[in-house]
Amino acid sequence: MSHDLALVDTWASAGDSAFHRASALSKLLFVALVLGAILSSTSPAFLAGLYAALCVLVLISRVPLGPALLLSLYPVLFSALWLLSRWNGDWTMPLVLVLRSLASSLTAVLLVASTPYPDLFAPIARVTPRLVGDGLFLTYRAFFLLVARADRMWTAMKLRGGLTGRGLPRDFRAAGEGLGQLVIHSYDRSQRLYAIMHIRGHSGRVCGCRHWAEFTAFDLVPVGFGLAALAMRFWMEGR
Amino acid sequence: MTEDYAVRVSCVRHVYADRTQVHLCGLDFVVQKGQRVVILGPNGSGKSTLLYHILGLLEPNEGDVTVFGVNPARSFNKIRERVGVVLQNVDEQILAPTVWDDVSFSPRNYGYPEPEVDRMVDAVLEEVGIAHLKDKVCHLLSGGEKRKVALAGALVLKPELLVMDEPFEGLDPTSKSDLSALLNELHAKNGMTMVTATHDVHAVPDLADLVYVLVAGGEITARGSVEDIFADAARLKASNIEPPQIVELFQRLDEEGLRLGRPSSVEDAVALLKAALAGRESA
Amino acid sequence: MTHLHIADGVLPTWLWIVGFALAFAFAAGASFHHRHDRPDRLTLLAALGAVMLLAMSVPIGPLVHLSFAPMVGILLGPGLGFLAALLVNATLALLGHGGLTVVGLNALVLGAAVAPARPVYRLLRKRMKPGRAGAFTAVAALACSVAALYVVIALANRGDLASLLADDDHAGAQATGRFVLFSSPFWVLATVAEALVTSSVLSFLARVRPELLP
Repeated sequence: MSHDLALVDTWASAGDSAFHRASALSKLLFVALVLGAILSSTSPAFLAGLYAALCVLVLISRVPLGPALLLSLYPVLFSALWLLSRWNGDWTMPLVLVLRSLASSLTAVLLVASTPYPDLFAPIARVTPRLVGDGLFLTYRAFFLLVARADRMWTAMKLRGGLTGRGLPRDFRAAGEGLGQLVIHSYDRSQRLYAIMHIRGHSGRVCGCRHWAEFTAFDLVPVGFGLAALAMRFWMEGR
Repeated sequence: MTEDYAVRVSCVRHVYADRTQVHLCGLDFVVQKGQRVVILGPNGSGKSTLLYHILGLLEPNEGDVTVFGVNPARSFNKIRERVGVVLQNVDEQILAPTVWDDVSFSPRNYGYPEPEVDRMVDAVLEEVGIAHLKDKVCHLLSGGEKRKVALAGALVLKPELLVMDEPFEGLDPTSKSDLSALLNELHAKNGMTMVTATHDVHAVPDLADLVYVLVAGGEITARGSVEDIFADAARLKASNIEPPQIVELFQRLDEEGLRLGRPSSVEDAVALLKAALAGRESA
Repeated sequence: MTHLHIADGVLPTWLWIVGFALAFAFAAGASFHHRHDRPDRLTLLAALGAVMLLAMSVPIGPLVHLSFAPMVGILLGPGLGFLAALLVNATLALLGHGGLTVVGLNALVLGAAVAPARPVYRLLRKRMKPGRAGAFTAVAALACSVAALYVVIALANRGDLASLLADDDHAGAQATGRFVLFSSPFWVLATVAEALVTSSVLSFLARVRPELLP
C-alpha cells in the first residue's frame, strides 16, 4: 500500500495534462458532481457508461490506466463481502452497487492522481481545526520520509535472516521490533521537528497553500465532465 | 548589556537524559559580529551540542550562553528573527509541502503581510538560485535542492546570524564548492555572522575567518585562523581530525628539511611552490 | 478489519452523513481539549499517524493487514489518538485508498480501537508486564472496533431512515448475521496478528525507551 501511495504522489506531481492543470477546487467540484450522479443512480446502463467515460478521462489525463484501475478495485473487493451477505438472489441491486463502487473509486483515483497533495489538502485544512489541518500536512510528509527508512530496515532484516515466513512467532516478533524502531525514530524526529518549528516561529499554519483555487480555462474539463455526468443521469433516469 | 559580540559560550556543562555529559570548556567560544567561524571536531565531540545551546534548544546545567546579549534558552523570542539555522538533516528542517510554503513559513508565522511575504520569498529564492523550484513538492527534490530550500528558509528574514550544522553532508564535491561560494557571496553582501559546525576539514579554508577545535567530550582545545590551526597537523591528529592532505604533505616536507611554508589550501600551496621554484632559478 | 474498506455509493446516504457529523464532532472536541498542548504533541501526532499508515502496509493474510490502532492509542491517548485515526483515514481516502464519503465512518470504527487502548493498558499494566498487557489491550481494542463495524453494517442493512425506525427488520438482521459469519475468520486473524505485534512493540519499547510508555 505504501508503494501505491508513492505511485499516486508521483502521478500527481509529474503530470501536465489539462486535467492536472485544472485547479484543485474545480476537481473537488468534479468529484462532488460525479458522486452526486453515481449515488442517485439506480441504472446499470448509466453507471457502466459513466465508468467507461471515466476510463477515457484517465487515458486522456495520461495517468496509467492499468495501475489506476487496480487501485480503484481495492475498496470494491471489500464492498463485495458486504454485498454477498445481503444477496437475496436478485442481481440488479448488487450490480448497481458494484458499478457504483467501481465508478466512485475511479473518480477518487483520478482526483488524487492529478492533484498534488498540497492543493488537495488545502481546502480541507481551511475548514478544519488547526490541529487537524496542520496534522494532515505533517502526517503526509512524515509518511514519505518514513517509507524510505522502513524499506531499508525491512531489507536489512531480510538480508540478516529475519521475516523469512518459516517461523511465524519469530517473524511477528521481528516485525514488532522493526515497528518499534520506527516508533522511536518517529518520536525522536517529531521532537526535532518541534524544535525547528519553534525556531522558525510556528504560530499559524504549516501550509501557505496558494494555488488550490486559481481558476483557468483548464477548469472547464473537470467541471464540464461533472455537469455532463449529472445531466446524463437525469436525462436517462428522470427524477 | 551592550553586544560587542554575537555569540559567547563560557564553559557549559550539559547532561543529556541518558546521562551523557558534554563539557564545552577549555577556551571560551566567542563569535564577533560579521565573523565567519567554523567549529571543527570529530563525531561525538559536542559540535551539535554547542550549536543547540546557541539556538536555545538546550539549556546548560552549568555555564553561560549569550546570543546578541540574551540567554537563548530563556529568551529566544527576543532574537528569533535575527537567527537563521540550517540543520544537518534537511528533511527534518523542511516542514511544509511546497518550496514556497516552506521558505515563506517564518514570515507568514511572524505576521508579515502577504505582498511582503511574496517579495521576500521571491528575492531569497533568486539569491539562492532555486526560483524555478518555487511550486515544487519538497519531498520530490534531490538532496542538493532540499539543502538549498533549507538555506533559503533560513535566509528569508535576512538574519544577522546564520548557524549551520554539517551543511555539506551528503553533497558531492561540485555541490560543496557551489554551496561554499554561495555562502561567501551572501556573507559579503549582507555582512552576516556565520557559525558552521563540521568535521570536513577541506571545507574549512573556504568558510572560516576563525576556527575552534573541539575534541571528544566537548573540550575546546584550540582557537585561531585557518593558517594557525592547520600549521600544526600533529595537533589536529591528536584531536582525531585528519588534516587536509596538502597540509600534511608540506608538514612532512618541512620535517625532511624542505622548508616551503605551511599552506592551508591548494591555491596557497601553488603560490608557495612557484615562489620557491622562482627563487631557485634566480639563485 | 478496523475500518470499512467500502467504496462510495454503497452505504445509505444518511449513514455516512451521520458518520461525518459524529467524526467531526469528536475531532472538534479532541482539538478543543488539546488546544493548549505544546506543539510537540502535534508533531508526535503526525509522526505516529505516519507509522500507522506504514503499519497498514504490512499484510497479514488475504484482505487483512495490521492497523497499529491499539499501539497508537496507548502512546497518544484517546483524544489525540482519535485525531490520528481521522488523519490516517483522510489521507488514505485522499490518496485513492478507500471511499471519500466513508471517511467519517472509518474514523469512528478505527477510533473505537484507539480510544480504549490507553485506559485498558494502564489497568492491565498493574498486573502484567508491558508485552502481555499490550497483547490483551490489542484484543480488547480490536473487539471494540469490530463491534463498531458491525453496528455500522447493521445500520446499513436497515436501509433508509424510515426502515431504521421500523421494528421489524428480519432481512436486515439476517444479512448482518451473514456478514458477521463471513468476516469472522478475517477478524480473528487480524486480532491475533495485532496482539502479537503490539506485544512485541511494547516489550521492545519497555526495554529501550520506557519513558515513551504511559
